[in-house]
Amino acid sequence: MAVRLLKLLGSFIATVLVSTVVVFLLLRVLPGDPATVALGIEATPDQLAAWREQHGMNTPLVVQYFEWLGGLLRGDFGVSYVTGQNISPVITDRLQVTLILVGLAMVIAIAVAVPLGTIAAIRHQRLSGAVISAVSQFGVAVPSFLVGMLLIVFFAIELDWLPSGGWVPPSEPAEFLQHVTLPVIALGTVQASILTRYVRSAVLEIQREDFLRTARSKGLTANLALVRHGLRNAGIPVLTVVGLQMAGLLVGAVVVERVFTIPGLGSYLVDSVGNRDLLAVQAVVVVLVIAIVLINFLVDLAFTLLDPRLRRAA
Amino acid sequence: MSPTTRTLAATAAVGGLLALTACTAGATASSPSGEAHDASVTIGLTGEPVNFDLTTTAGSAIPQVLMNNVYEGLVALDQDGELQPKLAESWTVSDDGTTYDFVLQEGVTFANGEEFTADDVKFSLERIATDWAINQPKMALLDHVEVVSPTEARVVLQKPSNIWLYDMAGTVGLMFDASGIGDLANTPVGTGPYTVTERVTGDHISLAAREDYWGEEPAITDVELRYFADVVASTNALRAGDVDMLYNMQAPDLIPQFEADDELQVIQGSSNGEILLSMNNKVAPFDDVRVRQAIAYALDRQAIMDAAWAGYGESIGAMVPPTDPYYEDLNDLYPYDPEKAEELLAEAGVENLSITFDVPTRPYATAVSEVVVSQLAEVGITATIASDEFPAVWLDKVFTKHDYQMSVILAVEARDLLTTFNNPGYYIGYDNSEIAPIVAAADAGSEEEWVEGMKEVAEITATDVASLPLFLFPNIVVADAQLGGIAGNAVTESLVLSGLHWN
Repeated sequence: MAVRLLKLLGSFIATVLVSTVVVFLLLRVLPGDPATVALGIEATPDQLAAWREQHGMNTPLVVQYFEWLGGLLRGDFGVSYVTGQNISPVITDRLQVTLILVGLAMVIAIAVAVPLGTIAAIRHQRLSGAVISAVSQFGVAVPSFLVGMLLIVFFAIELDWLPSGGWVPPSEPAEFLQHVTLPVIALGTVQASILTRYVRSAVLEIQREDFLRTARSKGLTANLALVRHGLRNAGIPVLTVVGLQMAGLLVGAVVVERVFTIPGLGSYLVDSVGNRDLLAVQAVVVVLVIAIVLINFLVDLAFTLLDPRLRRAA
Repeated sequence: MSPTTRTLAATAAVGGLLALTACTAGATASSPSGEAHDASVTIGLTGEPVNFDLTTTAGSAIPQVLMNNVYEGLVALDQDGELQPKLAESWTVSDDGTTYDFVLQEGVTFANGEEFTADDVKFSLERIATDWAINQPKMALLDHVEVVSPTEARVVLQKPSNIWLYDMAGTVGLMFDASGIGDLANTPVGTGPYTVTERVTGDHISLAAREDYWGEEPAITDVELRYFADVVASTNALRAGDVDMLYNMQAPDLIPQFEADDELQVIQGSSNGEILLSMNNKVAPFDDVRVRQAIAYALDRQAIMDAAWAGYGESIGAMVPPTDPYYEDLNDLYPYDPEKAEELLAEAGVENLSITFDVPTRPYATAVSEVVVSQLAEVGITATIASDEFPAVWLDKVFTKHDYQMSVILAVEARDLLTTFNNPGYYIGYDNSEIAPIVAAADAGSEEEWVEGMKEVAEITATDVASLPLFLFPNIVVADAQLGGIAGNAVTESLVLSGLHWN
């Protein structure tokens, strides 16, 4: 167990380190000049040069990289070229927004998908199972921004029940819930549909396993056998998908953030790329890499807990 | 907990959350109109300011919020583009045109409580040469500022200029307090009717009216400026009643829908922005005037405006909007005539021409470029679109490196005829040897001489097709029908808030 943990931790650190080098270098070859973007079309060459000097862009790349990395280790992402603000607090705010959004969407998706997927599997030869399958198939195909727009048209414009967008932090619970509901449903619908299909196939698979036949032969009903012995095993592939979806959502939420004008990490990334705010882009990418690697790490950890064989193997 | 009970618990929690949401929403939801409005307005905008320092950051997003609202200048432009007194009560100009004597308003204070005096005029104007990273050339003429008395400032120029006072109505004429510039990027301190009270990046900026403002206190005391990255999101917010007004709306196809709605009003204001088909005068094939003229004949500009921007906008024949004093109708210089275009191309010996068309990633540019490409194809020109990310890539490739043949851009700067064509080092690359002496004489002459000279410059550059202005971009405002006092004409970058009121 300890060895397995150490291995996971080692690959975690290595992945993050490699990604810092890659993102740093990639951004340096990206076309576009941050100085021109910041100072605009009326800046003179002298002013552009002074700006580059002031923002440390004339020092060798290696020095720039290690200075940045040093800051990272202290939790300091530096000062934005464009806004002149410290990036770290901005990232914290934006990450919080996106995590709330993604977290709530996943909670809803799991809450909907596990029972529905299980029912769809148990009743796969009956009408109700087929209906769930069909609906979830449809849900997978509909992009979340479309769901978002439909929700806005119906609930914000026609019925005027909820705001069409914007963000209020959870410290104001009533307003927060009003603002968060539609985007969470937009994100959650697609995720729930995807997950429902995975739960269904995982449960179907498990039903054919020998150990369930054994359980049934010992006198358990099919459903009871599934609940006692099957779901735990079906959980492993489903958990993998949840992990992948979480990771995808952190990046993919940007579309929903745009539709609902939510100041999340994704919109910050898009704006920063547009402004060639290199340090901000680096910060967002590193945070995303850490988050994604961390999610995979947790999924791996959860496997170990769910499946005793993995624990012994390690 | 077994998996099933865990699931049930989660479902129950989510159900509760949704139920709670529905209740609270029902209790506080409000309709966009039909009820009494308080003294606040929410305005939807695109293009968020990255910071508040308009002395070091380019673009119109910062002045849109701060100019005339938070900062004020000695003079300002009204909705017709005429100069009006602001912090200067009046002024006189010496006979030789180099000395301006300003009499300042009394009892004006900055938001930090400091009094506004002639010292601030000296401080603000002289600081431009040393501390501003942008727009410096506009104040290059300044010799010095004398403090005659606390309420009298004398500005001395190196040579007479007709453009200088006009520029003073822009960002370079804004007044700062020496103790209020410590944190320009985050805390602007001006003499204007509003102060910035909150800024949530990616979301909104809040402004509140000052109680100690020297002029008339605005009717709207609280303004929230909400920023939208997505056009559809902004129009949804308007239709849902979450914003009261959309300024400079970028989705012309939706206008008929808004015009049909009794609860909304649509204003088509003028702007200083020309959609400019820029041609690189220094590279083939556009170094040949006949090719540029052929392009002018080949394009049906009315059809382009209709197809790309739903017919909203104004036809212009030169780089001069009708609100400028030296405007002249030059629309008939190059009427749509594809045959003539083909003749000119043949004359220039460039048949079966193939060019690259650099298009910045902006809605207007994409819309315009598709029509332009198809019209050029009709006269045998193959234009291949290269999409340039805006601003970063376009600025770098087209604007800085001049690495392009043809491009299209919304030129938003006011009175930019000279910026565009009177500088061969500019990205257009127009040979200005003919117009430069006319410009110099006009700027130093009387006002009439200036207007005449500028008309001549406009005509020469339009005849030469130094670039082709396709149409004048409209400033479309859609707002709640009950909102009054909307400054619809975008005569400067500023969105003037002080006149707004609920009817």
